[in-house]
Amino acid sequence: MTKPSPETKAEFHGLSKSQKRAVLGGKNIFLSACPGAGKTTSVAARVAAKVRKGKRLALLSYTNVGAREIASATVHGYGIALDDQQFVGTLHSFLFRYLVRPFGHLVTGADRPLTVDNEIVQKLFPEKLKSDDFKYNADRTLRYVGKGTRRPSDETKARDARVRAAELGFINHDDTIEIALWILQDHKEIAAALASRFDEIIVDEAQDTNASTLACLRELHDAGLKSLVLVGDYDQSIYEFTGASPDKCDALAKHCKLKRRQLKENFRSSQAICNVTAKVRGAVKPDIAAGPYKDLGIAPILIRYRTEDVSLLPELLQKFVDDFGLDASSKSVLVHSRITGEKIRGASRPQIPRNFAPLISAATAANLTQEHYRELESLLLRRAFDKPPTQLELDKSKLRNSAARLLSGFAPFEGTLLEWATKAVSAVDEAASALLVPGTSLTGEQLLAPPSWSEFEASSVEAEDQDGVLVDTIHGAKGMSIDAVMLVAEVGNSYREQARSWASALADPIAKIDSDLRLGYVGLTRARQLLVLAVPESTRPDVMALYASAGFAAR
Amino acid sequence: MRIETLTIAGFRGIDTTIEFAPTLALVAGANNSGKTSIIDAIRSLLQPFAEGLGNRWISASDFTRVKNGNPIEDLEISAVFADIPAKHQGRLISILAPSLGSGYGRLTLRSRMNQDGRPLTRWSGGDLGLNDVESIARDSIRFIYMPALRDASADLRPGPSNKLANLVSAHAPIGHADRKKLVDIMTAANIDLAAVDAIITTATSIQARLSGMTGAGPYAHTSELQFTEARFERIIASLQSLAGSSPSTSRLSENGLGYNNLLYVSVLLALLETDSAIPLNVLLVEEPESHLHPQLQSLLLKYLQSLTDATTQVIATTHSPQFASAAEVKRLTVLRRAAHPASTTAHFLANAPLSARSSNHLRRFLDLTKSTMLFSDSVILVEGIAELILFPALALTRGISLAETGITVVSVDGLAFDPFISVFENGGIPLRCAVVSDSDPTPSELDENGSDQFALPSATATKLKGRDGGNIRVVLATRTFEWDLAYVNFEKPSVLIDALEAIRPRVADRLRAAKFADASEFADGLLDAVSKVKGPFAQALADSIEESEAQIVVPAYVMDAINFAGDLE
Repeated sequence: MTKPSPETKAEFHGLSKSQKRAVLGGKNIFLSACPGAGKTTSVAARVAAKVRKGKRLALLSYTNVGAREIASATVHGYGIALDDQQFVGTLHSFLFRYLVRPFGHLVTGADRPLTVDNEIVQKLFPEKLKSDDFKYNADRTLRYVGKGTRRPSDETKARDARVRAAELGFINHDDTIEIALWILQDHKEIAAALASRFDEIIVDEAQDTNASTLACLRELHDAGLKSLVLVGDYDQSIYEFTGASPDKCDALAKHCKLKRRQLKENFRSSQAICNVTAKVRGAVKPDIAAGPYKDLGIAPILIRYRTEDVSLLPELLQKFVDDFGLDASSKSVLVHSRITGEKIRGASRPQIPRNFAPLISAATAANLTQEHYRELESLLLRRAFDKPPTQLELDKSKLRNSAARLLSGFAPFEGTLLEWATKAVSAVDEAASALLVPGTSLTGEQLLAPPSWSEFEASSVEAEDQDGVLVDTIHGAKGMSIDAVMLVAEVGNSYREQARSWASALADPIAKIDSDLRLGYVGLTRARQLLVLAVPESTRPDVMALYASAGFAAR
Repeated sequence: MRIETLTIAGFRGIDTTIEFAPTLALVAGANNSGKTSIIDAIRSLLQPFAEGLGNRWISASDFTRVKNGNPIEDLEISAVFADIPAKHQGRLISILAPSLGSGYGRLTLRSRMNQDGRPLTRWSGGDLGLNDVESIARDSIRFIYMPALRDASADLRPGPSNKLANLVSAHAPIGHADRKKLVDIMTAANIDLAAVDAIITTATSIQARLSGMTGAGPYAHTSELQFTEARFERIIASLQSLAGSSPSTSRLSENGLGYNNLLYVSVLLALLETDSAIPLNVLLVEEPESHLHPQLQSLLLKYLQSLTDATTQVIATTHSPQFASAAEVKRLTVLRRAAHPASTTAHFLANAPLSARSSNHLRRFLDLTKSTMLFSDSVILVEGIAELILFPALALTRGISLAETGITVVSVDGLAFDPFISVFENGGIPLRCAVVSDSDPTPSELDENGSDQFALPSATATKLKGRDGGNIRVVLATRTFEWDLAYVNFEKPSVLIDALEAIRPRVADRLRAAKFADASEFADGLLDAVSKVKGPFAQALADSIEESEAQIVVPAYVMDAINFAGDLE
């Protein structure tokens, strides 16, 4: 049954044998993917094969990007468009769409569908208490996660306020998953219904999934879900600060008896890079390089930098690229903190308020997608109305037309950012006005361009560096392949000395890999041809020696 | 899975909730009671089985109710589904309504009239009626519509709308070996055909003329003679059903409309059962009685009642007392459009306070004539044929036309009134119902020695009187209808005696000659004279009242019943 037909097999010629073996067929799988394993294409192949057989899939990920990338690879790679029998999106939006909105009233006592609105929830909170400082425990009590001091009675007050807000129909963004879990726990019939709505739930970036979300998946599995596929790499879990829990993910995989399959071929990095990163990670065999640069023998480079000279690092990376005569179309300096990033870049970047993000994204995009339209539509609605219109008050075709008119009349993205923003704001107002009932005026949120934008060129938002070396955060580069990477180990007050913690597995290979090391590992494994690790000048000789033992060539 | 209730607010002026029986629901009602509107509401709410099979969109004319002189802006049609099996709850998750109970769902259509005169229609679902409905859910509930006046043979004849094609397709899905078999048969037939001299000659002579017209240039065209193109879709579309009394089946055009309709229903029911992935198919049938004679109506109904397929629900409207009378009472939903308030109301007879026993009684006795009470505005229930004939005539002498007032007189033919009254009590059809009975004891209530207890109303009459109240008014004759009629006409008895003359001339003469001490004695005498001929006597009396406009006094209790039923008090 689950064996792909010869016809199907032939069509996935873009995949290697081991990729086909890992992703096609079977059910209830934990697919662990090494960096550069071609995870997106591989999973897309599975999705295409399933959808072609008429299966209904939910394709979920922690961030919006993961699942959408797979969906788009399914369209572009295999010509299979996902229709509304399938669901593609974040775990959060999935749980909201199928549980919280239709059934939230059953566990909160609200008389209307629940809406996520942190501001309204905060308004219902007692003075001096911040709603975001309280999170739900598994037993549905609240715990304080803020940084200030608190009185013992605060939790009761916070809980009362949270319950009252939910009764009125408003919840915090984070509560969505908790409420979804309560629905699954208290209403087995609904859990069974959702479990049978989809033939398979695929969770990408599973290692970034938090405990409550994992608990939801567990409930769905127990309610009769036919197949759960977790895709991820524990080593790349870098979202522990949001509650991600690789251990609990592992526990879920065990509970659901997921069969472990591995994507071990690295289609990104050279074997020289694979060998070194495996040692840094510790206690694993190196990935098998299988990509176009597999035989490029440039050993990773270790350099020391002076903190006052960080702004020279991009130039240095370019120099290495030139010295080796590499044809590198993407070059990045990767750092953990934004602040260090600013220092390296030598200039601060403009802050972009929430409402402007979709405008800038649409203005700078090479190709407009459905997502651009959706975001602009919701921006127009927020601008036009202070209260969201009901289904019947909203003419969707009119809204789509307004968004289209806005896009076609966009001012060219040039001049200072403020000049552009001023034109964009009036274009938004005009497009939003078209949605109004004649005789009424705009009552929604006004767009205000920050005055500081006069100091930035519009182009500064687009390409950053003249010579093509980008400066990005490790989190921002997750999932990307970059020809030449310089990973910068920082010293800071808020975290340990990174050069040392990233060498922890080199000192003790069987030690458990911690979140600091995982972060470094993600940074190192972005590189395709050239990898440079830059450590502070203050780094001790014993640490330097550890890196040398891993195969880094010191310069 | 089934539709349990349909709630309509504003659509064509209807504001009501209609309950439907499972598997087969019959919606009975007089003309203009809203039957078609209910079918149309379901067609607007649900998806058709296939494109073109009765799709209906909300249109401006559906917003017709006038409120404060303005047409309404919003309308709503909402169905509650019950018994959704667990295996289908996944695809229907966006309409599940757990607050209503396990296995319940709700689908709601809301439409708003825009300023530009176009209705904007949205579907939503769930407990709160506000959840976005997934297309997978909407596609899971489908209807097939059979309008009242249809040419069933058109849908069964070769051509693009051929329903048989759908059915054959369902039994031979893509990849099925039978597809190739059919194509092979047709290819072989076409080859054989092309070898027949007459065909070759015909084709050549057509081709010669065609070429003469088009020339051999760019407009040249070739013609051929074939049974049909040897492609699966074409072959099955060219199939036709033959039906008739075996052994010689006949072509559709040779059958009556009635049999073709039965054939059509058979094809549809077979088609509905082919797709087990669909949790609910609703077959909407308007007036299944059209074109069918009474015996076939009963047979069709009996068959439909025997259906047990949990994924098909037949909702049929009828204004045929014949069809209604053959139905199980619990399947009937009766629609009324009363004058006040001027809106349709629906009454599900399964909710009437009928015991299982009364329900069976009713089913047995609700024959053609009695079931007319389901289609009337108000009812006078009487004992027998005499009242049935004379009440309209007597009312007319007081200037009241029972027909125009909407009062139907129904005779229970000497049966117990009980189950009939229950139909109109709380939970049943809220009609004004007057019950006219005698105070006479029945023979079984007399003492063994037959002693006279006329001074008191009988036990049955007393019990009956206890049902008085609300919509029900029980009036009793002092003794019996004829006795009371004679009693009040004692002063001028000629109208009664003249009527008797026609049937029993000698008895009439004797009565005319006799001297009676009082009205009571005369009434005894007349009752005695007509006791064996109550029907013919009533007939003769009605004739003389209507034709000669003879003067007659109407007993007070009769007027009481008429005034109550017609709300004329």
